Amino acid sequence: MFKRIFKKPWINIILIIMITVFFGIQLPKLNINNEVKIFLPDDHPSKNAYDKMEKIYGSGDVIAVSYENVKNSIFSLESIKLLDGIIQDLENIENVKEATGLVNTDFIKGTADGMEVKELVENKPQNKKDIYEIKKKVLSWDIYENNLYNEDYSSSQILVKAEKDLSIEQKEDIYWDIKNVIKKYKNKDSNFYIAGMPAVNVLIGNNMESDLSNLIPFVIGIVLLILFLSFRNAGGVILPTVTVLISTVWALGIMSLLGISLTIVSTVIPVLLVAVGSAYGIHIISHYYDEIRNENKKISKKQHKEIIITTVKKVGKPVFLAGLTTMVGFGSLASSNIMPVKSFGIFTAVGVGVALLVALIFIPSILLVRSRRLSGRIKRDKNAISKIIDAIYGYFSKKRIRILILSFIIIIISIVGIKKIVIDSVMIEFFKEDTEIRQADRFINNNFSGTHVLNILIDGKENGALTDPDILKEMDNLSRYLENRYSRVGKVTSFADFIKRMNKVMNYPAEEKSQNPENKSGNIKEETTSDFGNESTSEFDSETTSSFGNNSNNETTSDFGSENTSEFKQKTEEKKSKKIPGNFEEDKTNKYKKLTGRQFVELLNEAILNSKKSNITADQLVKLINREINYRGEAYNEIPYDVDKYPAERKKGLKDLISQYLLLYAGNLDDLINDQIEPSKARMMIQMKSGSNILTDKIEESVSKYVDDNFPEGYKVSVAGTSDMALAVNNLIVSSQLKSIIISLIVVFIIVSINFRSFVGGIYGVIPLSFALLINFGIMGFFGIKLDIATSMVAAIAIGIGVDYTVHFLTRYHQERLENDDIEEVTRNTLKTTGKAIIFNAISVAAGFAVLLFSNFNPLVNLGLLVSITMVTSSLASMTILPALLNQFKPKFISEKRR
Amino acid sequence: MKRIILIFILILTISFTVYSLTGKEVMERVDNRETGSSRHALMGMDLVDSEGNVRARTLEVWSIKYNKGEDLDKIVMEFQKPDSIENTRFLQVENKRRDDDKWIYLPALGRVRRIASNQGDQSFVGSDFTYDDMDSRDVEEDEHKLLKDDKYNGYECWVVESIPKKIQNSQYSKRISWITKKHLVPVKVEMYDKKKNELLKVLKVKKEIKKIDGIWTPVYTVMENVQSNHSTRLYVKGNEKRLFLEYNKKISPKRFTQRFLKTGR
Repeated sequence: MFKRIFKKPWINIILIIMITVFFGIQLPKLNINNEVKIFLPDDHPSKNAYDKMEKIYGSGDVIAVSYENVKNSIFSLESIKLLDGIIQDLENIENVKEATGLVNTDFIKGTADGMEVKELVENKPQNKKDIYEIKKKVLSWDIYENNLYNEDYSSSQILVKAEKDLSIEQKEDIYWDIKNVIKKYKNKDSNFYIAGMPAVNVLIGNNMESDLSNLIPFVIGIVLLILFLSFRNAGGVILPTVTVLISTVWALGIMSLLGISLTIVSTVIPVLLVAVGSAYGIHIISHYYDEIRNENKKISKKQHKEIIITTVKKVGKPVFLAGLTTMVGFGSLASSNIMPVKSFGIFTAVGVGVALLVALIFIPSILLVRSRRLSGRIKRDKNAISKIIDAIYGYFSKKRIRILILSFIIIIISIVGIKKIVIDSVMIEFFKEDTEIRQADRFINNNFSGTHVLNILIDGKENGALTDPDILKEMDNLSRYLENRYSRVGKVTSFADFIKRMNKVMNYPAEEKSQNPENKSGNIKEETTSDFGNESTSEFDSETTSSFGNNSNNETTSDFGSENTSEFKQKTEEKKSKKIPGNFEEDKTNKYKKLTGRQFVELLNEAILNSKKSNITADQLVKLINREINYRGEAYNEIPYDVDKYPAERKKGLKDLISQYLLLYAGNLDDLINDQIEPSKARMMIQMKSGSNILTDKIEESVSKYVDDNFPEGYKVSVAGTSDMALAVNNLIVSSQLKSIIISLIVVFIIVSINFRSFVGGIYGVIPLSFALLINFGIMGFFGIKLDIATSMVAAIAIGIGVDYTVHFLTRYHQERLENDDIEEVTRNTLKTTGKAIIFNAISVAAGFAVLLFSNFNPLVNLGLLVSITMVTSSLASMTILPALLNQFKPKFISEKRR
Repeated sequence: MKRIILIFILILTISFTVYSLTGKEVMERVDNRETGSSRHALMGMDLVDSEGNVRARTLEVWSIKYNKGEDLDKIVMEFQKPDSIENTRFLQVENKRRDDDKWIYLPALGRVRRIASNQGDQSFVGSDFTYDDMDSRDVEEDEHKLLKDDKYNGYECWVVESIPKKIQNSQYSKRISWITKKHLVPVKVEMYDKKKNELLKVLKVKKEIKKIDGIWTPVYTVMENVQSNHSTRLYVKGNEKRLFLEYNKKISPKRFTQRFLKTGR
């Protein structure tokens, strides 16, 4: 078979080069995408919930831009001017739906005889008084708190909302455009911070690019160095390197062809293939040199070909077996439901397969073509590795039992450590502490409501279900409940906040009407009333218009034709007006119109009495007093719920009132409700100051419990959002981790069992790996390394690579054992031959993965560290525990001839 | 609001001379027509989302011209459907050189309140019409250019491009209108967004233009937002016998008062 394959080596070479070029052309089309959304399988409920939400309420992607005035307050002419300019520039960015900040946010203002909805800053402020007015407006509505201003008024936030259905490239462009805008406004007195998931995604992509361009040359350099040290020969260095490069190009090329995006964990693929894939080429080349060295004289072309084919025949099988087990180890990650981990498993397996193929076909073909004679110039000397082997052997041969006991203790300690492992994959924590994005995230979370968003979606049965005061009141209560219970919940916003505001503004006390200087409608009023006075009757006798009936039912009847006279159809709403609105308000306001000192103290006491808790801030006290005296309608800063307090006779009237408020509010509530008048669905937005999945999980639990206990019947409540998807990914980590470990261990067990025709052999094969994994997880627990999507891959990677050591060791030990009954000598021989190769391989793989220590991402640094450590522990375990067990228990499979 | 009236109150000014009109002249003719002294209509407004779900609203509208010289109207709108906003009434009094006066009566609150809003680019009751869409633009506010003659729905039309002189005073970067030569009715208007100068919305007159009380009136229009696939149908309601739309009837000025808002009489 091999003869036929290598009959025309040129064809092999050209074919492989052509395929490589083909995949190479695909590489530029690879795109990078780290949105949490693509981490989940398409049918995952969290993903579906998010898509559904985006469809109804628009894009959930919000970038928070914070402006900090280092010298001055944001309530200053310069700050307002700057904010005005920057917001206009931000709104002009392509694919930005809106940029909302202090100057252009909707302000619902109560006036003497009505209300206004206007942008908060209508005209450019000219002087201190204008600034004072702006500040007064901002502080009058608590929805702005921690959104438009921070505690010390030094900083203000602008929320930039993207259009929906944007590609990742379009989102990236938005981010860079924002950066450019900010550059224009940056000066020595101002700081800007950009945060939010879109910014995080863009920066992950950006840092991945720099990782890839730094780490790949780095790891190639390390492999080249190791190869050079071992072969001291150009061919020995170049050929294995070419092998790994080809396999990397193929693996990434296929990803590109299939339209699979690179994610943060994909960064590891080239590093891993370079570090692992070179081994196969090394085995072939190394054996080839050994054979040539043995000939030790001038070799004819025919002999040369003979040597190469012998090499492939002899080394091919073990190399193939090693490659296969590695593929299985990595491939076990394909069982994961976390998409990047899944594709990592698939494409590293593919890459290893390619490396194997290239090592077994491409390298021999090249050697055949390049028939230049090579003679053994490589000297063997007692090097460092041999010394390590001697040390290991010298130590363990005397202390077999001690090793087993020590191993047992390590196992116990590790298990203790495992219990301490924290499972939390937080995107923002992928970045190192001192990075710009971490600083921005910290600043915004310390000063504002938070950049991490979780949404509560409330679905009612019929149109208008969400205007029911019962549900609105509970939505409002839930908001306050979450805000009070979790310090890391910065704010919860829903359309209930707007209804409360409208209710307050529409119930301004009559008291303040006459005092209000902004009442400019006087002459109009008089004009219309005087007209009215001239009319002696209140019937529109002279009108000639028709009544069209007040609903469409009438339309098809013939009534309409006859009703062309002046009678104006009477409507039924007048029943409601029996109650006098504003009774409550007038009592209270009159009571405190002129205040004696004593009454003032009484007022303070009453305010405290009506407070839900005693330790309140000054700000809260002022609000309580406002409520007490109905200052600017403060007593109506609530969901209209109590029938006695409002002119409506039944709850239905209050429900209608809410619809009417919505009709009146011309501002945009599209992102909170699905209809401007009779919404059947609503969204509550929870802003969190932390992306911790543990927090998200707790909040989701609280929401679900609150809803069960308090929400009226007939509403379906669910959660959605990037934080929810991040939590879903997090919840998949453990199952994905366990699945891949179990699958790979079982497969290793099966492969080793088949190899030795013995299940006991299979168990021995699994032991060193299990030991190494326990230590790995123990280290994670004790050193606080979080189990995240990257570190969850360590186990599968370690098994995939580490199984080779066990297989190699067992095979050699078995061969030696068949020839020799002195187990001490068997062990020593095994260690001297295979042991050396194992250590050599483990060191080169560990060194390769160690380049990840220089990654921009914390999880990849951890991954590199853990894989490197595990390489050392699993190779050492293979060479210590394994012989100790074999020598202690003397299992039959190892001493009997196979078959 | 005035645009509703514009759309529905279009009197045919017979133009014998059709040659060498400029875009501006066309738009002036559209603007300068006698629009009747009063109008009364029962209108349906259906909001249709991208999935085809329909939300229906019904409103009755009265308007009178209270200042003929300045072409100023008083308008009362009363919602009939959906039930939750039944009898909610708007009163708008147009003013020259200052903001219009607006009042609203919320029956559930039992109060009339003055409202003010400078957010003309906001949606009118959740529809694809903005408040500004419902208002007419002064001919002088745009540069008009006659692009070509075209046929639309079987009508011979002038196609006029209107670009705002001051972009900040407009919600669109440009509008292209198809004006019928026969009735001087805009039967199709394309509105382009400011940011990307891409087509945002299209207003189309469906069905034929009818002559009601001597006035050519498009009775069924659709405003479609082509970027969001959301659309709004605005039409005059009616039965087999007639359309619920009448012009030039006598309407009492008392109807346009705060007292009427509150009491409905």
